[in-house]
Amino acid sequence: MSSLLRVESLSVAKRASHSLDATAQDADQLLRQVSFNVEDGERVGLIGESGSGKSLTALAIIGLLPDSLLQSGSVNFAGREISSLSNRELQKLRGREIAVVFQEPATALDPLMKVGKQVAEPIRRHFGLRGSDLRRSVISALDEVQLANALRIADSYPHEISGGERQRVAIAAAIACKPRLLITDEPTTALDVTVQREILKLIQNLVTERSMSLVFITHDLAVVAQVVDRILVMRRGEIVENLSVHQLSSAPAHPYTQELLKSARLLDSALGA
Amino acid sequence: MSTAKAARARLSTFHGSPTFAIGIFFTSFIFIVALVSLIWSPYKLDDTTGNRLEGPNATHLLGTDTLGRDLLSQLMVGARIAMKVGFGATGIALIIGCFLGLLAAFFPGWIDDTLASIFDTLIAFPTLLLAMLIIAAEGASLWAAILAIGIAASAIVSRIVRILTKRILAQQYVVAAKTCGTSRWEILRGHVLPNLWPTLIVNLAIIYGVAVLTEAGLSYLGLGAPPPSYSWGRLLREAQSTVLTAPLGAIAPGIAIILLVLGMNFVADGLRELFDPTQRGNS
Amino acid sequence: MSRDLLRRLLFLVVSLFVAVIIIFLLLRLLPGDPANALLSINASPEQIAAARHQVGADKSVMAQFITWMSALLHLDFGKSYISGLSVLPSIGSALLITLPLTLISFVIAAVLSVVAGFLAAYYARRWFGIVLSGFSQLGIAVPVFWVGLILVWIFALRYNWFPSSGFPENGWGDPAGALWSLALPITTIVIVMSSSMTRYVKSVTTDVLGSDYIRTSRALGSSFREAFFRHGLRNASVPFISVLGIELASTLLGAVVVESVFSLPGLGSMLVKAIAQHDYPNIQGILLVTTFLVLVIGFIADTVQRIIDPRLRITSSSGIK
Repeated sequence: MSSLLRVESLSVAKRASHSLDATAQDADQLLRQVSFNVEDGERVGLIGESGSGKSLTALAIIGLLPDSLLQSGSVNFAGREISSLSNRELQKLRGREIAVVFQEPATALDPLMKVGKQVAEPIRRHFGLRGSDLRRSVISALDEVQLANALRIADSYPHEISGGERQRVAIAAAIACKPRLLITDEPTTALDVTVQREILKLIQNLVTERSMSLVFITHDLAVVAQVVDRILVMRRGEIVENLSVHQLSSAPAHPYTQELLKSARLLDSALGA
Repeated sequence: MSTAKAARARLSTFHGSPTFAIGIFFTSFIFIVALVSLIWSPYKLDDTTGNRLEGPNATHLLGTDTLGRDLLSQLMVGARIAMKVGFGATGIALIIGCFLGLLAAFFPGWIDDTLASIFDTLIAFPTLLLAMLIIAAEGASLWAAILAIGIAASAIVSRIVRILTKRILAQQYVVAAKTCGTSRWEILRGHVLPNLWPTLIVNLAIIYGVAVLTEAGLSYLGLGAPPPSYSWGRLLREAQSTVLTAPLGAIAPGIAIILLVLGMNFVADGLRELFDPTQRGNS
Repeated sequence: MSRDLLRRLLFLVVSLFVAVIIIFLLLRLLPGDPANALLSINASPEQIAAARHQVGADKSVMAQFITWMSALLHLDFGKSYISGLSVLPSIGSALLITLPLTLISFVIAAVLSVVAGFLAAYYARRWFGIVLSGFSQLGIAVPVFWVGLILVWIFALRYNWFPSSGFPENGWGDPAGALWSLALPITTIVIVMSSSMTRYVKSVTTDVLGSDYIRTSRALGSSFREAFFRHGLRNASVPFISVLGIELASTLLGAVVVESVFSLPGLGSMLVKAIAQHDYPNIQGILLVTTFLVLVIGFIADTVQRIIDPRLRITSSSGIK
């Protein structure tokens, strides 16, 4: 059985450092031998605290690491080795086969451009649509993310709509070209609690309806457990746990995961959940 | 914005970029030359026994000017004046700037608004022009120049102090402190000042360089300290007419100015990196 | 948007008015009688009184102000104490040199620094970018008149390629000669101004290069070039334009100093001379004109910014959340 996404021994390190201090070398290794698979239609959660390397993993998969970082290891998508592809080849994949939604909806959108135009960008590039066809696609994408009054929103600037609406727009742009794999990097962290729940539900529905695979990156165990089937725990650039959600509550092996679970439970009981 | 505590923590592990080291080296060099000039220089300034417009030789390391005075000695005294201008103007800018900026931040309302617009308008005016205005009023002298530049630069300091202080005052923990009844003074000392000084120091280093450049400009235009003060700018003014025959007289003071100002800018950049390493690298 | 425009225009006029008052007061607060400039040392009391009357110093401050304001509104800036020439026309002919000098230098410097700043940001880690950054660091530490001096030494005196000073007698009537005279001054200003502007451009570009919206655009399939030109440029120009206004004012100032180096009869030389001679009408006139120019430049920069950045506009329709 071939997985949709297969990451093997992915490592990322800083290219050079000013410091000649030997102990600093360790700190320059940001991802260490990260390996995991994502099957077709599978939903995987990538959990870790800040600095654990989870966002870097997402960037490494689509080949958007900054120049200052070196990447090694294999990234295999739909049977094709993409870690060695040129940028031009990768551009064809990004937004079309693999799409990423980032954390801060406020800054992820160009503040000087109307929102509809930004959603149109990937559609135009990957499907070549123009004019009224393009516009119809944009509106339909905005409808799909449950944005009431899609027409008004398409003609608005990012600062004229709410945070939740912005994140929906970002998701719309990401799924507009019907990618097979959706990676969401802390999509709800910057939002209000009530809005968080709605966005989570939205992502869940979209992923089910379109049979997309999902990699959901977050630091919040409680949030992700509702949405995914399997959980990967990352710590300091390494994957320390790879379990299904069921196994999580019954038999976590790594002490770090146990810590995470414990604090999640504590919080739950404190909130009387 | 980082706190002083974080800054001090980073200080112990600070390796320093090479430009910072160069900056420290240049500025220390000039400082030391200025200090030395207090007690010694190769020749006295009114010593005109040398041959006129000589190139560098064994008796006059950098040559002489039109009246036979030793260029090296003039440069050393010029360093002293540059120090006075730098510290004087920066000090004045600091005092006035902090006072007005803190005043504006602690008393919101019409005081704040008026002061803010005054700062903004003043800042739009280049320092040199403002300084020239004040010199026009006071007449040309070293202290007039220092005062003028200090006042002109204080607008920059005021604006920074005002904006930063307002930001600090708006922080949750300060609001909490206020509700606990902490007095304004204590808030100032305990919260505002510790968080203010890193940014302030960086900007003061830059203002130092601006002050030296502005004074050089004033002196060059003849509006600075009149002779026999040998400000570097003044030296350049004198050297202009004889630049073809004695180019060193026109080159050397310029190099001196560059060393000091560039050094200060490097120090400022290094300090900025120290206090806020999240700043995108600028060097 | 027009309501906002009107409001800002009003603010501009008020600022101008405030500046006029400040300039008027500043010079009235000066120690020393304005009339002194007109007199020799051993003037008789009657002569002094007559001079003061001529200058208007015997009236109350308020009366002086009113006289001055009404003259201003008739575009009568008074006459120079020293030469007796009318101030505004003198400023006019001085501007014929200063304005072209400033504007040409500014445009060249702006173009250079946009290119250099971008390259310095994009290649920040390679030697190329570091060298560019190094040069711009050097350029802001160097006194502008020194650059002029060195250029004169090399290109005017050692090699007689350019004139070392002066401007053609009939001004722009001899356009080739005029431009020739301005060549070295322009180069001087460009060297210094482009250094300072390059630093801004580099910083702005660095911010844009690391921005989230460029990342989003690339994550959805754009090439870097597409993302940069479609999103980056416009976003970068907003802070850049606000800085341009200040930089233009600095260029004007650089021109003032450089005119001294090259003995160009522009506004700068006029101001320096007027200050040295306590020629108050000239000083006042130049300050007024300079203030007016600075305020107008700021206004234009502000307006352009608003056109580009929708966040700065106060829209009448949808509210801002």
